[in-house]
Amino acid sequence: MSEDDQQEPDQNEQTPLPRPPLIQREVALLVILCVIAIALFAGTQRLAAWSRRIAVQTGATWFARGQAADGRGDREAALAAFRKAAAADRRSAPYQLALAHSLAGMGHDDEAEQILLRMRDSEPDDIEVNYRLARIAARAGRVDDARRYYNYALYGIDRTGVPPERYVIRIELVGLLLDHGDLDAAHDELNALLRELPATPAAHEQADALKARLDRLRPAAPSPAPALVPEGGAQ
Amino acid sequence: MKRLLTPSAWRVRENQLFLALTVVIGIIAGLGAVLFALSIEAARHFLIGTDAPWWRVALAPCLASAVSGILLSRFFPDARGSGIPQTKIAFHLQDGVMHPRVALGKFLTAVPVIGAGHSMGREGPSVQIGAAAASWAGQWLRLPRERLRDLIPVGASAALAAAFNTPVAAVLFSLEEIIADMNAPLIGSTVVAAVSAVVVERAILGNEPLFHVPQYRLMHPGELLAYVSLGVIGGIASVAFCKGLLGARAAFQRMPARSRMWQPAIGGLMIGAILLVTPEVAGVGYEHVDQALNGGLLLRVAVLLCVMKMIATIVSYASGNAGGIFAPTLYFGAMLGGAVGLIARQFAPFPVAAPGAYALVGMGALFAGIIRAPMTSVFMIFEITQDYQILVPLMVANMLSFAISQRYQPDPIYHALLAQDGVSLPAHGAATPHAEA
Repeated sequence: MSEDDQQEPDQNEQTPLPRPPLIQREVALLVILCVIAIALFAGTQRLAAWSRRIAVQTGATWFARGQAADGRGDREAALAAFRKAAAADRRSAPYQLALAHSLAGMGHDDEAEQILLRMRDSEPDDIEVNYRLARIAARAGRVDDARRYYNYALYGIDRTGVPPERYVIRIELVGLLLDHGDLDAAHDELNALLRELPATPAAHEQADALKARLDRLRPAAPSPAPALVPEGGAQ
Repeated sequence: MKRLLTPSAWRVRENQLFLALTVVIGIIAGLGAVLFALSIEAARHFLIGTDAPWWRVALAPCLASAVSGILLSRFFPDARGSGIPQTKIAFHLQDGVMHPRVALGKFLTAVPVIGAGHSMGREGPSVQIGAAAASWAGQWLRLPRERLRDLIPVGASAALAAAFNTPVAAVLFSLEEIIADMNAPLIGSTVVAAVSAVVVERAILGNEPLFHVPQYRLMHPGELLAYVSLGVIGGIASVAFCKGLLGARAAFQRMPARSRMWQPAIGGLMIGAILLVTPEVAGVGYEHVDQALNGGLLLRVAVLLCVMKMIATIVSYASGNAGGIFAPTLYFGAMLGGAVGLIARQFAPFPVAAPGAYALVGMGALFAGIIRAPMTSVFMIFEITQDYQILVPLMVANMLSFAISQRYQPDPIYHALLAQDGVSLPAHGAATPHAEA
């Protein structure tokens, strides 16, 4: 053994190991990285809020343009504007509904139905969504789907805007049932319609027409109570 | 309690440190990707706005590219293009070392260019930003080289997960494309980072999916023939795009070296002209992909948008702008698929699914053909739809597109782009730099 080797244990005993720092360097840097992440999160969240406000403004601008185009009968321009409104503000139910309505009006029932089905996923009992789905299903000849959606629309809740009045929905349902020969169901729905019919001549004319149609198709059936005609209404 | 206060209790073992670092990098890379996407939206709002006059639409890409070109030439030469090839170089050739300046450069050059309407995607740049942030954090912590290298796919998967809201596909993309090894032991770290990134992304942007896709299914066994056709057409389109992109890029590279600074602006002028004809191909364009996925396109519109988007992407990328080809690939895949679906609906003697189903499969087929990551494309579409029903047609079309693309364009696009720059990356294992690299 050399002299150095013999001295080594003595040196170790004499010079104590340096005390490690309480917090390791890597841990300290990791904490700093966490602080950076928190700051970045706060900044990104603010930018996201600003971006959302811009998206809402952009959506409103395009929606107004779509309504204006719709008002002057320019359906293609209206559809393009509603598309942009719905793309800008994807959370807005009125924009989605307007887009679906516009698409259906242009004959793009498939795409309109997809939009409405997506809306129905989040609002299954919304009157207007179900009503529009029912009309698309009726046009496509899917009677069961159409009846189901009409029934949801009749007993649903208004969540997305100004829904059609219940008697309007029921008139369409009765028409659908008569078209497809389900006379018993049509009879029942017609009775219900007569109970809730508003006192307007137009509504009564429509109800009377349906009743006459039912009578023609099934003369032996017990006729529903006659529609109440408002005082001074057209005969 | 007393033990917790002793210094030895605070000693963190390397594995624990790496795990904690993975979570933090996942959060930072995810936030970076979200910030990047929001900044592109902000740039788009300021540069184009809601209703820009024609001259603004035409000139904005050129002006944004001119500024970006100066920045790219003078300060950030590594920030050109997609970002995925550079990330692969960092992983395979540079032991995971990326300069933090790369992330800053990519952010500053890609945001105005994509916001101004260049037909480029945000995923590739997000991947490079995420990987650069991860590498910077690792270098700051003085991690050993092998650990630093491991952080590249971690940052990349986190950024992609946040940018595309598909964590599983992001992890697979890192394994399949960045590491080029599906059996890599890094899967745990990439999963942790991707999950962290998606959590913060959803905390900020909400749980809104990137695309609203209805549930599609195979309507008739004969319909598989239509999907086979889509796979074949997708493969041919993939080869055409790759050849076109590489050819146009080579043409720009043959131009005098002093013109390099202004090449992005030349591309910008061309994009401005394209946008005057088809403004729908501007930027990332996911709203039009969504429209195609819901069957909202006419045949001639779908074909026109597919062709114009391909041309616009080739021009934007080949001229040296900063931006990716991931999103454009999905765009023209959706348009091509939608067109095939509309033709099938018109002529097939059996019931066929809605054109949106074909648009969805087309996205996967073009992704498999161009990016050459078939597993990622299958899982990406599955994550978008949450639906197993479409998987069989998707796999059929993907494999055909992949096989045709591999036959006629042997080098995957990112490898071919690197080869043009004089860098060669073998599919597996160590890479060999060319003389120029």
